[in-house]
Amino acid sequence: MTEKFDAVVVGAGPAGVTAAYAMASSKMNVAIIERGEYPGSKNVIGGVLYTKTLNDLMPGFWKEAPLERRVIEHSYCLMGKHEHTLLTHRSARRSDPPNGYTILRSKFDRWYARKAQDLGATLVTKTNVTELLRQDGKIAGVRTDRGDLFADVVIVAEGANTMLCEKAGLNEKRPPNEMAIAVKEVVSLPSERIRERFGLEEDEGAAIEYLGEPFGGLVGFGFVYTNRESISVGFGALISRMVGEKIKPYDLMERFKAEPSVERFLRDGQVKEYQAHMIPEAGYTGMPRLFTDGALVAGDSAMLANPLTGEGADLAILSGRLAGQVATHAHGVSDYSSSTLSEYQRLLLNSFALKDMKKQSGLLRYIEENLEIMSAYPGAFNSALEEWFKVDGSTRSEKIKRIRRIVTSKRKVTRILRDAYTFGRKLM
Amino acid sequence: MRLEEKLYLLRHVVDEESHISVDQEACARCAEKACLDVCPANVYSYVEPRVFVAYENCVECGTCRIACPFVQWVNPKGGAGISYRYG
Repeated sequence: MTEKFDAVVVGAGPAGVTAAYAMASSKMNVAIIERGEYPGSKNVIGGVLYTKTLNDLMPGFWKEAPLERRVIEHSYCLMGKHEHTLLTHRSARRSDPPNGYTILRSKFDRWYARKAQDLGATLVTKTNVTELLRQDGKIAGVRTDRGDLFADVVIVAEGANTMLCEKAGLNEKRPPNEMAIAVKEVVSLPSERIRERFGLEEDEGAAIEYLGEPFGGLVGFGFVYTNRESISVGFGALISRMVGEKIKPYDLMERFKAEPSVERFLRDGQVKEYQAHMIPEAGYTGMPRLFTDGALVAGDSAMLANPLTGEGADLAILSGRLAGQVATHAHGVSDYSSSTLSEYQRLLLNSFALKDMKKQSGLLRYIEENLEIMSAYPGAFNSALEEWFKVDGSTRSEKIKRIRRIVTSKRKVTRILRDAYTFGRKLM
Repeated sequence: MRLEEKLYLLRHVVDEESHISVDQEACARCAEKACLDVCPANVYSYVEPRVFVAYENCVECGTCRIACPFVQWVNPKGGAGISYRYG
């Protein structure tokens, strides 16, 4: 096949499909190239799609999209060696749109790609893009294993494996401390069992992030998300630390699932699928060149993920939308030069997501250099509360003194102050 | 549940050609062999003096490519490889 489109999008994930949707809605002739059998077949999400960015593009999408559960409850579970502390926030307030839904990608991505197709975008599956084609120094299309495709503009949304960006000189291969491995299982359980165990009604859902054991020596955390008739359980951790600790991902998965605070949710469930994917944690400083003559980079390929909030898919959608918008403008003025396309970077850097990522840059590095943080605080929380709740004949003031000793035995006071200062500065 | 049983649940379209290759000479000199530890699908194994690659089990996370400089990892050809049913 040798054809010319107004735009070619590499990858039918949320970033690529959004870009295609935005361009097709402006009557551009768009092709989406997907290497999988169908959109979503290569994709994994931990669990939650925050609705904000997609609802801005497609108001009310959540009433018709194939979503799992509306997340009404978010928790942090601080894990110790033999105990845990659960911090839970639940809201009965209904909002429009609801803040977030759990999703499964093979269903969601197919539905979403269909939306772009309905607007006229052409979806080409089972086709792998091997390189970006250049003509007169500008990117002019893509080479696939089924032939070349030409386009005025290429949107690169190839995901976390950024071979195209690297080949085109838009980014370097990121080091192991800027990428996380995520492993997940989908464990099926009857809907009523899920509602019982998590205290949920009908379509309500819960999301739990697990900090501390067994992720102590790592920079990572575990998660449990409720789907309609299954639970997504897994973890994400920086590759550098996995290598450093010589922990095998599947062994860590089993250890995590065996934790009493996890096991009680999964009991009698049946593993339906075992998955692994990478999460870009390179952050602001590890981002690729977001634009060049004839091309824009979006989604995971642009390193858009926020480890603090678990955002990823929604940021992919945000970037896809801005990329599509800028490409549409470029199409209107028939100018695909980097000076026209640079508007994409400006818009992205002005978005809430990138402002956060910019502010937070260096935070993961700080944690990596202060690994103790990952186990000290969850451990201190647990020991302190255990002391507080235990009735053993000592006075409350004795207990508070003991708690102070417990906390400072886990992390020196000077370090605690420095942690507070660093986190404060990176977040506020 | 053993990893083998979990991998057995997955749908793969197997290509006759491997999308992964390693530099055996470099592997022989490599003390760390991160590939053996980081791969979630246990694609890599070492039987002296070679690293063996069971590419047909690859779930395409790309972790090995980041963890090890000696792995040549590309996408399987279009339509081949892992096909998640849930995702």
